Amino acid sequence: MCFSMTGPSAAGWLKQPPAWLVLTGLLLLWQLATWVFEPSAFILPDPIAIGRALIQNPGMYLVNTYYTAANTLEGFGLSVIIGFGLALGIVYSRFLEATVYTTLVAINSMPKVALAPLFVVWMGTGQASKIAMSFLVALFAIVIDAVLGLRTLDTEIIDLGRSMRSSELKLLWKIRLPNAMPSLFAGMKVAIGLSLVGVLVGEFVSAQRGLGYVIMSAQGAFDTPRVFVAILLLSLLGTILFHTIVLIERRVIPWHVSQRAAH
Amino acid sequence: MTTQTREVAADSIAHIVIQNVAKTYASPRGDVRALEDVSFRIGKGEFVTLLGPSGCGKSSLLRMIAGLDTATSGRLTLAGEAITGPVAGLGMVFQKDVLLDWRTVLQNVMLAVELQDLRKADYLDRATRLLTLFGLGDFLQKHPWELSGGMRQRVAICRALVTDPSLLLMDEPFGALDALTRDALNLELQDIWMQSRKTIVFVTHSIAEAILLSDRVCVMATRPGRVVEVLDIDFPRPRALAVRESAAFSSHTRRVRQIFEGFGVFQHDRS
Repeated sequence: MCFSMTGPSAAGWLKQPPAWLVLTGLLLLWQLATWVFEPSAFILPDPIAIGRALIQNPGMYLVNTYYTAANTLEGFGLSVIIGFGLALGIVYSRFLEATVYTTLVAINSMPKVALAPLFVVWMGTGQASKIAMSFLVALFAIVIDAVLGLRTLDTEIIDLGRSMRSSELKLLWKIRLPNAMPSLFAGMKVAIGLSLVGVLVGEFVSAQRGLGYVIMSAQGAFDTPRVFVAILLLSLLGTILFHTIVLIERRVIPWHVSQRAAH
Repeated sequence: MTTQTREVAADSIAHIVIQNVAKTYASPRGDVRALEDVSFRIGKGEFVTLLGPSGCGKSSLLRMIAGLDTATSGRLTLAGEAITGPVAGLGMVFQKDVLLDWRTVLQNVMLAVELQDLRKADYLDRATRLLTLFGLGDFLQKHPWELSGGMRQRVAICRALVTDPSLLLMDEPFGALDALTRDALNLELQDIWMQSRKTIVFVTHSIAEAILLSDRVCVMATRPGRVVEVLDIDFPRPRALAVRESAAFSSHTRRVRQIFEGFGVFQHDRS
């Protein structure tokens, strides 16, 4: 697609600059703007001040990032396992479809973060309420996409299976499950971001640890650079989590249309 | 005429017997008669084609022979047993190849073995041999998306044949292919059939394909779907594509066309 023989040319970079260049450019602009307009560090700290805040206390940020990441992964993992289990039930049972699926749709249409204070009342201020929030927020994306993936099967494939007198279990294992994978991964890519939001909301409501807690306590102390460090770490965490899913997807379904260019 | 039982003297023993079979679908606008009072027999090792326009019930009939669908009335038997569900020793090919993208060509063929609970080791050689026979020997480890439409349909045929079924049911298998690929596959199918003498029931709406391949052609009409005539095609085998240019072939084609014309198949819908 590119005319240059080795690496992107200067013209190519202008047309489609790499992500790191865009980000560095934005930071530079930000730094320049703060030098020119001199806003108070309380309103908008400059990148150097934010960097300094990070270097002053790296251990504290690391621990809190780890804490938030761990809760996110646990909430996400639960939503995948339980969500996929529910999807299987919904696909195979009219009863579950009429009960569980309908309930889930009803729950999904309300803003789930409104439940966060209630979860603290029920489960305390520790890990459990964050994982629960994370799980609930991510669950729907998994169930919807898993149900879609498990259901979307050519009628000819079903006929083929029947004509070979295949058991339903074999059909599930050899055809339905692999066939549902692309859709399940689409759901997981949405759900991983939602899981992080869920944990963060839980930490905003009440916590002694985690990046959400760092933001709340820094805001209370009027330490805006610290708020920014936490925000940047959250973005970084979100990006890493998302790309981990993408990487796994590439390994698990290299055969899918969306993956073939990379194959 | 419609109630007349049509029994064609097959010189081989009747393998499949279709007796006064009718199929009615319930729809919001009332019952739709998809198939009405169809009777004929298919001998063991015979190549029979169901030929007709869309909506004549040829696919419905094939699905009933496969045991995938049930008749509203009438009787279908296979080797003397009533067909109540898919029987063992059945191979099916559809218009869509329905190959699985995550499996290689060889694995796609072996799916038939796996789904039928047979031992993989017993069929691996046969799968490879079949694929090689169909010119796919160099593509065993390729994935379906790397293949052309004709190659994909060849894989689907190998998948149907790998367990050595005695009955092969083909539902417009070459309908989505270009004319040249279709000709090639017609000849390959004839070769396979002559070697193995499986009973083949083949659905198509191509008059030329039906006459080229079959021992007998069941000409079907619509509204309601029914068999209106059964033609015996007695060209010697193997038949080359050139047989289509013979006078005898033309007279068969003309006969089918006249039947279709009589039932208004070619009329423009001006309503």
